[in-house]
Order: sequence, then C-alpha cells, then structure tokens
Amino acid sequence: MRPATLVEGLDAPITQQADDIDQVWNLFLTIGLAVLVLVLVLVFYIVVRFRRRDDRLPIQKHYNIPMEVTYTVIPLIVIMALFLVTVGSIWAIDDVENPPDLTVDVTAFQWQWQFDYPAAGVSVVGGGGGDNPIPELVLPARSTVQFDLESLDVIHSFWITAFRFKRDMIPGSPSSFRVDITDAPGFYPNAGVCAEFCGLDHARMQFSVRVLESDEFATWIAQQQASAGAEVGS
Amino acid sequence: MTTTDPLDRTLGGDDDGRLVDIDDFVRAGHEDAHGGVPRSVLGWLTTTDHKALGIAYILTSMVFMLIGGALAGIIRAELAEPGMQVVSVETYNSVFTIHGSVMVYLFAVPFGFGLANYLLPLQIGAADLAFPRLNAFSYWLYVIGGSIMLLGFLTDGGAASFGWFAYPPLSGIAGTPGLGADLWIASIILTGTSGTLTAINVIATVTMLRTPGMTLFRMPILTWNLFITAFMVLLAFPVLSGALLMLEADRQFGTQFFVPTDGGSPILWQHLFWFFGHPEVYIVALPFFGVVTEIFPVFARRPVFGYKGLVLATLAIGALSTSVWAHHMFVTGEVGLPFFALTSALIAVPTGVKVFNWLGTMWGGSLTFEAPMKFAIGFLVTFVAGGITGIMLASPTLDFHLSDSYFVVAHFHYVMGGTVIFAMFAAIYFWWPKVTGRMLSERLGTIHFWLLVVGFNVTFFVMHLLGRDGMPRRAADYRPVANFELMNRISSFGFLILVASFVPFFISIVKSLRSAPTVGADPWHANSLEWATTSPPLEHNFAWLPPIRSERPVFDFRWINYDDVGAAGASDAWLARQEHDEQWLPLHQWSRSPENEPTATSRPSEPPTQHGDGVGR
Repeated sequence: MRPATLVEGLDAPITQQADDIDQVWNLFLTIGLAVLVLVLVLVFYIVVRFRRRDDRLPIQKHYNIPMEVTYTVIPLIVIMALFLVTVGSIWAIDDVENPPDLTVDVTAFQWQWQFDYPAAGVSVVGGGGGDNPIPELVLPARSTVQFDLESLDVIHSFWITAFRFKRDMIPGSPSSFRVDITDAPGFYPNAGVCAEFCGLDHARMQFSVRVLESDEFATWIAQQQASAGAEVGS
Repeated sequence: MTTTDPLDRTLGGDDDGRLVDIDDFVRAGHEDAHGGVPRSVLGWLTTTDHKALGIAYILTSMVFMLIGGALAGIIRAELAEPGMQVVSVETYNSVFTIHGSVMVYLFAVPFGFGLANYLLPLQIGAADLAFPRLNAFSYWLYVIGGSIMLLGFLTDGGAASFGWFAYPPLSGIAGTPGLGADLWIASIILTGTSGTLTAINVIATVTMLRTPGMTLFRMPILTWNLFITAFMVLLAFPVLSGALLMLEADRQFGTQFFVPTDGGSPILWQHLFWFFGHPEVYIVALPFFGVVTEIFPVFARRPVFGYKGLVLATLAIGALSTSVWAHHMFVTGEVGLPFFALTSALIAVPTGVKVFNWLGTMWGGSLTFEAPMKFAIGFLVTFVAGGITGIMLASPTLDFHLSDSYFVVAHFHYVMGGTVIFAMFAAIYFWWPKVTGRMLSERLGTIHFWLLVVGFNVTFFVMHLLGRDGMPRRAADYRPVANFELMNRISSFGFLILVASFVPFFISIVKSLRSAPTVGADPWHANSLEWATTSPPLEHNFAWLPPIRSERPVFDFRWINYDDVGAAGASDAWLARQEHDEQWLPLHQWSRSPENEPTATSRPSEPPTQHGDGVGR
C-alpha cells in the first residue's frame, strides 16, 4: 500500500498517469503559493511602509519602463515554463503505446453506470441512488486498461479521482483513453463520480473502484461469469 | 457617522493656501441639486438621464444580487449536511441554475453597465450617453428579461435546471421539458440584446462625446476599460443570442442543431457558448479592474503607475479572451489542448501586469485606508488568489482532475464573485458621495470590510480542498465522508458571516441617506472629471470644466499653482482661457447665451502666475 497523499480524503494515485499528474500539481501548487505569498508580502509591506505619515505630496513619477518590462517578462518566463511542463505532460496522460491488457466498455445513462468486460462477457451495472447498489469498477493491478466510453442520453463525465482524470461522455461521440494501473491493490469507495451535471440524480451517479491482484481479478471474472450463467440458466 | 469631508487636511504642507479648491469653481448654490434624478414614479419610468438610469441599473442589479444570494443561501443550507434536508433535488437543481444565471447575467454584467451609465459621461466631460433613449430601452429590456427568468419558478416543473451554461442534450426538450427552460432562454436573449445596445452606446459615446482636450490617452482607466469591454460585448453577446435561438428552435420548432440522435452536435453548443462565455468573464471583470484603478491613485496620492501599460494590458486581455474558450472543454477530448493551454496561460501575463501596476501605484505613495481603499486592496488579494488557481486550470494536465469539481467553483467565486463584490463595494463607497452628496460611515465600512474578508474566504477557500478531494460541482448531495462533511459545514458557516457583512453596509446606507447632503464636489481629492462638478452632479453634468492636459485634470487643477506637480501645460491652458471665455464651458454649452456662463464670483480674480499666488483664493 502506498502512503496517503497530504490531502486527507483524496485517494492515492493508482495509475502511472496519476503519479505524473500529481507531480505537475505539486509544481504548480508550489509556484502558485510562492506567487501568492510574494503578493501578500508586497501588499503588507506597502501598506505599512507607505502609509501616510505627513502632509507632503509623494513623488508623482508615473512610469518606470525598465521596471514595467521586468514585471512583464518575468511572469512571461514563468508562464512559458509552466506551459512547457504542461505540454510535456499532456501526451503522457493517454498511454497510446502499450496495447491494452484489458478493455472496459463504460456506458453512462441517467443516472447509472454500466461496466462491460467484452472479452469475458461480464457486465456490472448500478448507481443512481434508491435501492440500486453503488456499482464497482474492478480492475487488475499492474496492467494497461483501455476505457471505451459512451453515453446514451445526455452528457456525463467519467471521473475517477484516483486516476486524477476525467473524460466527458458526449452522446453520439464515443471516446476512449488508456491508463497503466500501478501496483495499488485496494478498495477506493469514493473514487468514481459523474462530473458533468446530467439532470435529477446527478449527485447519486457514483461508483467505487476496486483494484485486485491479477490472480484475484481472474477469480472475480470467473465468479461473475458463473453468477451471470446461473441467472441465465435459472 | 461622518458626513463631512474626512480629508479636510490637504497635502500642501504648511502652504496649503496655494492649493485650488475645486468647489470655488463649480457653480455653487444651484437650485437643481437632485442630479437629474427623477422625483416621481412617472419620472423614473420615462427618464433618459444617464445618471438616473445608472442608479436604476445599479439598484436593479443589486436586487438581483440579493436574490442570487438568497438562492446561494438555499444551496449552502442544503449542503451543510449530507442527505436532502431543505429542498427537493428538483428544486436544488433549479436553485443552483438560477443562482449562477442571476449572478452572471443579471448582476455582475449589468452592474458594470450601471457604472458605465453613471460615470462614463462624467469622466469624459459629456452631458449624457450618445443615445439616451436607446439607453432607457436597454435598461427596460434588462428589467423585463431578468424578471422573465425568475418567473420560471412559478411554472410547472420549476425554473430552468441545467446549469448556467445549459449544455444540450440536457437542455433540450427531452432533457428539460418545462416552460421554465424556455423562459430562461428568452430572458438571456433579452438581457443579451440589452447589453449589445449598451455596448453600442458606450462606443459611440467614447468616440464622439469626449470634451475638448480629452484625448484617448487622457481618458481615465475606468473609461478605457468600459470602452474595451463594449467591444468584447459586441463580439460575444450576439453569438450567445444566436446560439440560444438555435437551442430554442431545437426545443420548440423541431430543428436538430444540438440533438445527437438526429445528426446534431452537442459539442457545437459548447463552442458557441464558451466563445461567448470566456470573453464574458472579462466583460464582467474589466469594469471592476477599472474601478480599482480609479481608487488606488486617489488614496495613494500618486498617479496611476504605468498608464499606457495598463491600457495595453487591457487590450491584450480583450484580444486573448477571444481565443481561450476551449479551456472549458479540455475534458471533452475534442479540442486542441496545447493551443488553448497556451492562450489561457498567456492571459496571466497582462493580468499580472495590472496587479504590478496597482502595487506600483501604491509604492512610494502616501496611503490612507478609507473604505474604498480597503475594498480595493481586498479586491487585489482576492483576484491574485483566484488568478493562481486560474493558471492551474489552464493546464489540461491538472484540469483533467479539477474540471467540474468544487475547485472550479472556488476558482470562479474568487475571480468572478470575490473580485466583483470587493470592487463593487469599493465603487459604492468611493462614488457614494458623488451620487448622493453624502458620506458613508468609515467605522461601519471597516466592520463591513473585515466581515466580508472573513466571510468570503471561510465560505470559498475550503471549496478548493473539496474539489481536489473529489466533490463534483452541482451535486445536491454528497457521500457522508468525514472531510466532505467538515468542509461543507465550514463553507456554510462562512456564508452566515457573508450575510452578516451586509448588515453594517445597509445600516450605513440608511444613516447616510437620512443625513443632510453636505459634501462638496471633490471630497476625496480625486483625479478625474466627475469630481469637477457638484455632488450630485447638475442635470447636464457640468457648468464648468478644468483644462484637461492629463488623465487627472482635477488633480492638475488643484495643484496648478505649483511647478512640476500636475501635467505640463495645465496652467498655460488656464491662462489661455482668460482670452477665450467660451472654452470654460463643456462642449454642449458652447452655443449658450452669456447669462448661462459661470458667474463672476466663480472665476478666479486673477490668473495664476508661474509661482501662482491664488487661483480662486
């Protein structure tokens, strides 16, 4: 098991891509907080240092070209550096190199999720509150998983917080993405969320994520096939 | 309770007799002291006076702000605990939709138009906007349109419930069948048309009605920002109106622009909407940037630092804002990520320039912290905090996680909510004496400010953490996880402080309105032309104007007896006036007969000398 992240309540990243995203996040957060602290210190200094002390009129100089160029160029450099970090990481988010070990078809409709494992003929459906149980998306550890996404009615968004990733599901426009699950077996009860407002029970359209060792995953698939077969047979 | 000039002290050192008092030149004792504001119901219904309509715009938009705030109260009450306690899910969905729509379409933008109405003609020395009747038409379109949106609550199925950006297919007839959705669409088409007409009016006014001497680069920054905002409105609002007409046609007339089952494209709506929606956030923000740029120099006793840099930064923001819209669509997987990441991040540069210009204006100044200055500094800090999360969201890598979460809610409540509310109060405290002839209480203003700072940050800061932890926006309920419960409760508690912050404000307003109007033309010792007329201003604004040789003619005139303080040429212009009496008058009074000119008592007894002994003294 990995150590929890600093932010309590957010599941630890469970994909290589999420690890990368968290590194970019830490960089942006550090620089962002540094800028905020810089501005706060400047404001505090100005407020104390330049408060009115007497009736003299302060110097009326209203420009300083070198200074103005400096405070345009330095932010520009910082922004461009952050942009380059971003661009360098955008393409790593979607693993298009490794062939998928597993493909999961995700179908969203108001206000449920359906996870199909087409190779095994297994299907899980649920969510939307009421008597429906929250569905579980079960994934094998240390594997490359491709998600094929489709929405049947309105726009939904497939967000797994432990992936640090979401993708909108626009009806009529199926899409897919691929991630590399790391060695992170465990149960992530709050990880799956519909992020795009989709009508009445949007808030109830949730799912959990369970990452199993590959042998446990094979067992789980077999169990699902058996129970599905039993249902069909009965 | 202060009803007199709190800045009675001057900055002339021990020789303040050489300072010119603008009140000696503004026609005093005029009978028409109600500032063009009608005194009857019929008068209000038929007025075309820019000051009356400006007040009407501002009051109406603040009523909408209170309505939007009440809806926010319902949201925070519901989210204080997991589960549904206060309203049904259907009502909650209508409530957050109308909260966002009211705040964006009916409060933040029209408040800016109210500033444009009241202040723009005054700042450029004009008598009114270029098209006064069109202006009245815009206002009434806005009132009618706004009311139509709220009528949705009375219909079967309630008001619109698809969020303020109305993504189809959810906003289609199958997703949201009720009449409330059609009313919402009609409302925004009407208010959007109102905004477009106002933008035309603003552009015509700035182009045609500047008083002699008021060159473009002598316009106050607020005027500049309103001018640039107007062009952005012209570009963005018609796109929204067109898209809304397409959506309404989809709903009622059987077209399929956005219906995926019939070959339409939901993503097309997102492109059209955000092509409006992203300039829109700067349409909201730029007038308020202008407000604080008027306030910092006055309370720092310094000219605005880097005037041309500020104008260029505003132009850059206006230009860039038309090419950033798809950063709202990173997670669709259907837009060019690097391009929109670059343009979105680049906007941080001109906005950063503005922040440094504001800091540079204060740097080396002689700062006092009357209420307008407090709120302006509050604006600056809030805006920087929101800007930083904006840079994070401009990175698709981070946006994949943060998009559509409470992190985004926190971000835009800092950049659109917090900055608007802080700058709005800065504007109200600053121009209140000009509009009413009375001061607002400094003591109550201080209480108001600190309650707002605490309330705002307690309410909205935790939303960053909520979003990062995985709470999606627009959720009526959330799982009973410990940190979700704690942070939502903190946020709801913060909202109570926010509500409390309005109490001293309203007390201050009532007390002020019950006092006598005693304020002179220029209580803050300010810079721009609106301070060169009575408080409240005359019916056609000016009976007299100082020479305009920089962006702060009132400052130049106050210091005209000193060398090297005000703009070069101001005192020469003043001497030249002795030979050309008609230039004493504003443009629209040039053809008037001599008896309407300023009386002899309001003229200086002698022209200022190079070392000036006594203009007006």
